[in-house]
Amino acid sequence: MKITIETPKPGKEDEVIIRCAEVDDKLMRLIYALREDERLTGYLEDKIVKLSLKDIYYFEAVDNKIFAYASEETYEIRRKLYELEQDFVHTDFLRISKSAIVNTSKIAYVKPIFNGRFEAKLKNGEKIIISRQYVAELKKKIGI
Amino acid sequence: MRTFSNFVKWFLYITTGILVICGINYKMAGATIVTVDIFWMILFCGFVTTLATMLLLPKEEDGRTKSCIKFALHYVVLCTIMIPLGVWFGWIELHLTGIVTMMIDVGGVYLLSLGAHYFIDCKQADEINRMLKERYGDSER
Repeated sequence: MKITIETPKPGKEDEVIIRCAEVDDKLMRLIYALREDERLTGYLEDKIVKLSLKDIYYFEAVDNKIFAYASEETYEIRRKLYELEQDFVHTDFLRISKSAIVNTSKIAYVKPIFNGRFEAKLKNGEKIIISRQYVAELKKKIGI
Repeated sequence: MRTFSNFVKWFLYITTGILVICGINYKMAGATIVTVDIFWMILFCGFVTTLATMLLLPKEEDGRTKSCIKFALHYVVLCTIMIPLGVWFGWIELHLTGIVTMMIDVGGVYLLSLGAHYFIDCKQADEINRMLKERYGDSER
């Protein structure tokens, strides 16, 4: 594989362009690694906080508001859930229900529960529901 | 498409369940010869009860109480379908013992079908957990 590093023109944003025939698992990991330090603006009462994606366990829509759940705090995110889904498609984040996007790297384990759904236990001890219709996507994401 | 694949999946679970329960009943009754019609009867019962299952089985968005009510209603409807079919096919006679037998049989098929469904989900969860462990390990990133 040929690797070329170019210096952008002064004032231009850093950009990574990947030219490849196929986006395989190895490449996906590289993309995840590049985006891991990406930051998101979160609101906690009157504070504005820059959140690192790797610190977020999941996003959830509650009463038309989006919240990001970190290990201890919950931040409001002033964006739509579908926007987050689209923006983080090449990261470890994955839509798991109509109202939630989870960081798959924060899942400790999953188990089937009542009603044909699955439950994901996160590494911070929280539990979140995975709708059956998103299980195939989860499997695809983690390489099954 | 999802509804169709769900239908096929439940049809296979339920029909297999009915086949097993019929096998047990015939064995207990000491029957040694069955006619080919039994297969069509089983398939027909499987088809009708799968339709009822598709309509009445709790949906994902249903809460625990609503789901429990739907499960109970589902069982009652299945018994209501299977008792006349059982009489029609000559599997039971229309008296208390026959009705109770059919209710137990429906319960048996119910448990087998849900058990199979849960078993497959467990296998799926195991596979996901194995890949999660392989990919991310046990520790926090």
